[in-house]
Amino acid sequence: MEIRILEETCTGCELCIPSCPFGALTMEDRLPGAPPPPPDSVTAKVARVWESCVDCDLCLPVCPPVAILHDRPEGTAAVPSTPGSGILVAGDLGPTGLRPSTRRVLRRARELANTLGCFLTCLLTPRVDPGTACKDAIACGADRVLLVDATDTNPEDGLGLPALLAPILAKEQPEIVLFPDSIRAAALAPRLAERLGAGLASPCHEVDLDLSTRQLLQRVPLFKGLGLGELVCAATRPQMAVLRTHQLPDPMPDGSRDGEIVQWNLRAEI
Amino acid sequence: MNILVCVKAVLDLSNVSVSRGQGKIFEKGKRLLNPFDEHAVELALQLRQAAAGTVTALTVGEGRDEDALRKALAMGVDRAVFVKGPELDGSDHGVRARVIAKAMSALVAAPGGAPFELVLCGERSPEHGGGQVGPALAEALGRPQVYRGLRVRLDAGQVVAAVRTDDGESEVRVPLPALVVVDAAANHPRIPKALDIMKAVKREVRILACVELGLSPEDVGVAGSRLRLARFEIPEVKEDAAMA
Repeated sequence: MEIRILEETCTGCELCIPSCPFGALTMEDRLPGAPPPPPDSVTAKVARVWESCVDCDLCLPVCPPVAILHDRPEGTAAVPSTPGSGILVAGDLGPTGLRPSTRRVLRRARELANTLGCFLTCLLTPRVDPGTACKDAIACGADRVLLVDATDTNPEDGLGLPALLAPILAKEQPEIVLFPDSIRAAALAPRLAERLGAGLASPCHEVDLDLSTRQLLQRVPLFKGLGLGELVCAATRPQMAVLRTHQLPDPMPDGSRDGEIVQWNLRAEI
Repeated sequence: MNILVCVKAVLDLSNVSVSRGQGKIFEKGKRLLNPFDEHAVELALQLRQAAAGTVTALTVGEGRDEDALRKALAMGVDRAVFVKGPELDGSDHGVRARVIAKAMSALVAAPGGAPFELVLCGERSPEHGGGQVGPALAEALGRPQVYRGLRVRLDAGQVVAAVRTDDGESEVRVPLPALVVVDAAANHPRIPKALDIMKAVKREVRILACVELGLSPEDVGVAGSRLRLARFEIPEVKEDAAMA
C-alpha cells in the first residue's frame, strides 16, 4: 500500500470515499497528537487508507486539497512515461466485446502500470466495428486504446497478424506486453515474440515487478506444479508474458475514467 | 509427402524423488514421450497412410531424451533424428524452435534429403505447458500454421482442418508447406505392440550435433535463451490440505 493521506491538508470532505472501488477509504476521528484539521475543514474527521488499497490512484484526482499522495518506491517514475512505452495488453475481442480474460489482464496490468508509473495501452485488432469495447478497456484500466484494423489479414493461417503487429510494437517500444491465456493469444504470442526477438513466458500464473531493474518477474508452475519457476527476460525488450486469467479477479470498471482511442492508420498518416 | 513430427522427452513424474532442501527433482526411471506429442505422431502416421511418404520424428535435448524417440519409433515412424548436446540444456522455446529449423535445413541438404511439406507439433508439454515451440517454429520457417488442429486432412496441396478456437471450432484451409499444432482431442494415439517396442530399441537414431548445424554454444542453452530461470523452488506440500 503506497497511498498516504496528508492529515494536515485533509479537509474531511469525504469526496474520496465513493471514488474507491475497494472500500479502502473511510473517515475516522483524528487521533490524539495528530495534526489539527486545516482552517477550511468541512468536518473535523480525516480520511484513512486501509489494507484493501491496491494503489489504483482513482482517489488522487477527486481530492480538492490534494491531500492524497502516492508514495512510490525509489527508482520508479511518478510522471507517466510517453504513451507508446509502458505496458501494452494485446486484447481479445469476442462476439460481445472485450473478452473477460482480457478485462482481467487489464486490471492486473493497471496495478503494474501504477507501480511503474507508466502508461497502459490496450491493443485491439478488430475485424468489425469494436463497438463499446474501447470504452470498456478504458474503464477497466487502459489509458489508451490502440485500434489496428485487421480486416485485410487472413485469420486462418496465423501469418497475417504477427506481420501486421510486429512493426507497430517495434515503433511503440512497450516495456512489457501481456496477453490473456486464450487460444488466439497462444497462437499469436510465440510468433510475435520470435519476430521481435523478444522473450516470452507462457503461461504465467503470476507476474510481479523488480523495481530496481524494472524487470517483469514471470512466475510459472513447472513439472505439473511440482516446482515453481521465476523467469526473467534478461536482456531483450519487450518483456512478453501470457497470463493465466482464471484465478485473476474481475475488474471493477470505472466508466468515468478518461482515455484516448487511437486508430493506428490515422496516427501513421499524421 | 514428407512429414516431420517434433517431439519432446518429459520426466516421468510418477517416478521421481523430490528434494525441497536442494530444490531439485531427481529422475528415477526412463523419460517419456510427451503425451501431447503422441497425438502429433498418431496424426502423422494416419496422414502417411492416406498420402504415401515418410514420417521423421525429431527431438532436441541431451542424452536421456532418446527414450522419447524410441517410443515414436515403436509407434511406427520411419526414422528418428536427435539433435543432441549437453550445451542445449537450459534452452528456452525460442532456441529449440531455431535449432529445429536449422536441423530441418541440414536434413533437407543431406544426400537423399527431401523437403518436409508438413511439420507437426504437440499442443504443449506437461512440464511447463506453454506450447510455444510450434508457433515459434512456424515463424522461424516463415510458414502458415494450423493451430490446435482437431480433424486434419490433406486436400490438393492444402491442409484442411477443423481447429479449436475460443468460441468453439472453425474450419481452416492453409497451403502446404505448413505447420500443424495438433490438439490433444484430435485422436487416440496407438499403443505400440511389445514386439515393436523391442524392435525400436535396435533401430538407428540419427544424431546431429550443434556444430554440424552451424550453431555455436552461444546460440543455444542458457546463453542463447532470451528467458532466464532466475529462481526455482519446490513449494511446501501441506499434508493436511483439504478441498474446501
